[in-house]
Amino acid sequence: MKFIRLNNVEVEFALERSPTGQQTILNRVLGIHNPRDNLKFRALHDVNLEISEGDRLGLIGRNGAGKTTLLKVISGILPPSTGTVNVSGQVNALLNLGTGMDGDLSGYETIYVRGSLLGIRPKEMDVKAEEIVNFANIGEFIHQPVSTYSAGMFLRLGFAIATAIEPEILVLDEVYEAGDAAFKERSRIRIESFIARGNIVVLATHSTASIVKYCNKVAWLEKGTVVKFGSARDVVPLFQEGMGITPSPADSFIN
Amino acid sequence: MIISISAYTADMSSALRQHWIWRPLSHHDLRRRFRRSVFGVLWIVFQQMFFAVGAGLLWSTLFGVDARSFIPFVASGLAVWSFITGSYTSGCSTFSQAQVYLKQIPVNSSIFIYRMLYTNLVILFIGVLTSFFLVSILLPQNIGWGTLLVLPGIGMVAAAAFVTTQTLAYIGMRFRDVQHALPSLFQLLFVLTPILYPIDILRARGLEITEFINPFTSIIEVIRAPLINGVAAQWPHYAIVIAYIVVFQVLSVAVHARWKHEMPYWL
Repeated sequence: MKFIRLNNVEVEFALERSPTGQQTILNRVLGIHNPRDNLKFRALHDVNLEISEGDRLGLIGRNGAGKTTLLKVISGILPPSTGTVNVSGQVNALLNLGTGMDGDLSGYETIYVRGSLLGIRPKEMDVKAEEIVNFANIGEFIHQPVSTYSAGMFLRLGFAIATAIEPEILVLDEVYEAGDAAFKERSRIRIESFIARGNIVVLATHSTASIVKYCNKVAWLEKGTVVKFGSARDVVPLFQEGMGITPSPADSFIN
Repeated sequence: MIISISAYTADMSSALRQHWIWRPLSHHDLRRRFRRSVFGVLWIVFQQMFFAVGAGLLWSTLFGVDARSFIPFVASGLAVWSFITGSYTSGCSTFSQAQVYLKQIPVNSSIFIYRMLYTNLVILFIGVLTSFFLVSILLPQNIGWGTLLVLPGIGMVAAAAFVTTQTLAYIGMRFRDVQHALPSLFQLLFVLTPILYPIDILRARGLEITEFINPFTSIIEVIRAPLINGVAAQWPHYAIVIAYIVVFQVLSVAVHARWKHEMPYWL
């Protein structure tokens, strides 16, 4: 049974005290209390979600609304400051790609390192590596350091690795939308086959078209709080209205 | 208290069992360090030999000791010294070096402690083997059954490095000044520790007490004494290393209980 349950989840970051995070020792010695010393940023506030098998949850909201933080909490990368996260099922996450790889390693080495971190056993690795190379389709560059890759190559490799073992819960940040048409098509087929087998997908995106296409449930985030949670059919129009977006033709197959 | 010990044990042993993740990471670390160099990992051997032979020849004339015994002494002392201080300094960057992964992939952060330790252990083994090679050329008469005492010595030093790396991984991450303070501390300690001068000099000056108040001397001696002389180190050295391990084990459980959960917020 796969599910995600979040109860009263809060995420609070301590903000840097000064641009470089220093400068407090003198203040501490002198006993000066700068009100900024204990500045906190609440990235998520009182988030409650229940997602079950076969659900595809879309997260929408402005930049900085907390979408990526919520993805990190769901995938277990960031434990919540308070509240509980209950996740049953093996999670794979594809979050911001640029920082996600060690630039010195070649694409091929990256497959082995990241693949094992995602849970691919050594004995399956060679077979999986070949599949990943084929799916990523970046040619001879697979043997070059990933620091030489274009954004599209990063994306294709990252996506191919993250989806190489079928995750029971796939967590995707909007990044995956940066690919070219051919890649989008292949990734769409892969995501749809995951969905068809009852796996959970959590997707953060600015594209209401993708939400409409993939998701049955939608959470609309605003300043770290879920302001609306419900079916895509109900929440997307409200969101568009709130943002002042006129529905695009692509959204029309919501009906 | 009991809860934090069992949480600690469960966490560290599950990360240990995931050796198929951290071992390849270590191999990549080593390979990366020598990327595009012709001699690769052999540079570890060259650097150690070059310094040990050069410094050994020079210092042996200064102190009037036999170069044949002094060169392996410098080589082995240096190998263990760089290993143990390396577990402090690289320990501090255990998590920050892994943030590429920790920010992206749901994985137990403790595997990166083993990654760090394993990388350093490989370098220690190379250093010990190089020293043994020097001993076999310069002091073959000292090799005997007693030489096997190197093995428990390595075991103890590895255990000391294990608890050190864990402790510093959290402390170095929480207090970023530590990693900047450590090099100056070690620079001083390097002079205070008998690596480039024989312990006998301390004994001759009536300073033998200093031999047993610096734990780094003991950590070096439990490997160096059997390696170059084929005999056990003096017993207080073993006692000191065990005490060191116990102290740092307690510290490592404490920092784990306090900060394991919070750590992702500092990345």
